[in-house]
Amino acid sequence: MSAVTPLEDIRARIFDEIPSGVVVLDPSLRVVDHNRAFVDLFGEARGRFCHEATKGRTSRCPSCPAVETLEDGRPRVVEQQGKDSSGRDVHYLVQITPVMDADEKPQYVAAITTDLTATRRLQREYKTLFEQVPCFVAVINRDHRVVKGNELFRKTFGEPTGDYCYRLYKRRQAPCRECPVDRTFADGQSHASRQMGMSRDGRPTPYLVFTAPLLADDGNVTHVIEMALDMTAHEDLEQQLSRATVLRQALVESSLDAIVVFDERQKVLLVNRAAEDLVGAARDEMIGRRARKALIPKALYPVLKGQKKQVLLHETAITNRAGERVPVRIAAVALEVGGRFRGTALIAQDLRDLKRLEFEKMEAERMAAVGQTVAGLAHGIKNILTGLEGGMYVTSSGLKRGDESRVRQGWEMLERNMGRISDLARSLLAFSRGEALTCAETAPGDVVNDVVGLYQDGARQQGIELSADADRDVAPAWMDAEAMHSCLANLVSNAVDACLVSGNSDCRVEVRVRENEGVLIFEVVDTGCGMDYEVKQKAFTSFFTTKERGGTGLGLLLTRKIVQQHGGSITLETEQGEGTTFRLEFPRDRLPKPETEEE
Amino acid sequence: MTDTAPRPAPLVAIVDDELDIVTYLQLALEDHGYRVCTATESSTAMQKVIAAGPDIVCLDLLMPKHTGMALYAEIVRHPDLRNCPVLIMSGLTRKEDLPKLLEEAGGLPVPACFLEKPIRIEQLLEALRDHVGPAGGTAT
Repeated sequence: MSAVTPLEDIRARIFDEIPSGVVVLDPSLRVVDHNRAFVDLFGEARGRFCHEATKGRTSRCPSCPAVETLEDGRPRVVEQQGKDSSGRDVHYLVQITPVMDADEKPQYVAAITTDLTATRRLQREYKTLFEQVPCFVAVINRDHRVVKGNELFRKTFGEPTGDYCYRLYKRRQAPCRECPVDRTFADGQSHASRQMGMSRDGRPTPYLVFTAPLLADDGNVTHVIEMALDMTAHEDLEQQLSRATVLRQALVESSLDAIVVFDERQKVLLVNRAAEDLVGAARDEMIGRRARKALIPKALYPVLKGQKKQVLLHETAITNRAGERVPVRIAAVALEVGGRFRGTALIAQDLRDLKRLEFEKMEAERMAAVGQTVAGLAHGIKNILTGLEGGMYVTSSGLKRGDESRVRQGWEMLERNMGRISDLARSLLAFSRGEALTCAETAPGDVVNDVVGLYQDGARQQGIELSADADRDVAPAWMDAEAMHSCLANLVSNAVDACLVSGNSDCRVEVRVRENEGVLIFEVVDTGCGMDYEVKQKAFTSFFTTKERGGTGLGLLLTRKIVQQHGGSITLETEQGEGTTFRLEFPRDRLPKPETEEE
Repeated sequence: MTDTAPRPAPLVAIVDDELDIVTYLQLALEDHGYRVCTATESSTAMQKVIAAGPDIVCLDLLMPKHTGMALYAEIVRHPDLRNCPVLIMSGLTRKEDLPKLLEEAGGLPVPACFLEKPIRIEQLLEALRDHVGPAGGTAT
């Protein structure tokens, strides 16, 4: 035994500390020595065959680089795949060096192994990433030729055969003026840019392009890797979104209805032009603040606080900045995102113009009625004048002839027509009297029942069944009960007459009252004789009467006057021989208002 | 002796619900030599007119129940009265409104004559002379 010199000891230690596995083989390929890194990978192997220790084989490998080096004395580097001490596949790089004897013949071979397993795994992962990434990835050389492309690239442009990138991406015949690949070749840096390409079917295609350098060992850029993301769908969406946004803004802004949007804390988020006009303030003064109390009817608070989904007020009023009460129709709608309350939209319609038109229409109706009254009056007077003229003629011709009976006949005609003038004057006074209604809280059903009660017995005696159908739920209304009573009484009296004229044995008259969407509706329905076209057209003409005795021709006119004074309208449906329905409709919002209106 | 019988005076039918007007017109026209038949109830007026076979009908446009316009339509459509001129009298309708009224009533022909009330007897006599000729009698 010889003592180990310090130098040998150092050598042995260095041998063991080399991070790559080192093994020394004899010509029979038995392991003579190895270091710790080799043992870490393949386990203890001294005395075993190389193929046993590194590959788990029982015989030599078909082509063994160690044998080749033993034969030709040349070093070589090869990649090998073997099995580690636990039987797992390992990839390693082997650098084989001959150890020469005195005759310069290879006596041993030393093999330095570098484990490539992790590298290989990484390579595989990178390759997968390269292939599967959902954008075009191409490796491009300095001539702008594509030398490699990922799966999507190959699927779209085919296998790269060295074609130019500008031809593939842009259908161009020459390089682009602003080439991101050139930039990366020039400065070795990564760059991002937007490029407009052209698809195979000639459609302009926007790309988001990233370029990165591929560096050689010497630090030179040999290739550029380029990633191109097709932005068509993205840009389409972007355009759709921006179009939708512009459209929405235009719609909201140009809406004739005032639109105000509040957030969940009742602060104003959005105000359109119509809302500025309605409120009388610029949007800058409103946005970000809570609305003034006078602006928002109380009934809308539950929606603004997220306690109710929506409220519609058909007619209400707000006080604008100038302190003016503005009649509005207003809807409040809770805005929810994913079931969560996020705010409220108020949509208000300014009713000032509508109210003015309504008033003008009522005035026009009133004036038309006045016109008809005057025309009817003229007719009545003309008939009386003709009667007077006749009386004068008959009297004077009787006097001329000395015919006393003719004189008497003429005198009677004069008297009768003078009497008619007095009657006419009285009727006109009655018609013009009571210009102002005396309104009070009146139950519509009571008026109906009173009228029916008053006429029922009389009708029954004439073989006519008169009945009431009054909906109990109709709320009281601000009306002149006495005037309404005479309206209905007049219509009932007409209906009874129509039944008598018809000669039917089984005639009915019904007086009804109900309410539909804020409109009070009275109806007098009979199964009497009905009217033909001309009678219907003249029904509301004064002095027009179908009653041979006792009709003044003023009844319906008076009825219509009272109805109009209550803001209502009167219509009739009739079928000759079938009967007639008179319908009086009173929108509650057009009824007379009490002096002190509640807010 | 005359070899031809004297031509009878034209027969005028007066249809109006105003009794005094009917009396007045009847007496006045008879005084002027016309023959007159009258109807004051619109429901029976048509029958009376057909039975009388007048040379002209003076009709009030605004009559109860069966209005004058409906009666006018019946007259112009009746085969026996097709050639009988109709003189319409009205206190409500004005001459300029007549075409519209005729149109609304189903496109009735324009009447031979239209007089607005109050009727002046001279006007009526002139119209009758124009359409059925003079009565031949003398006024008293």
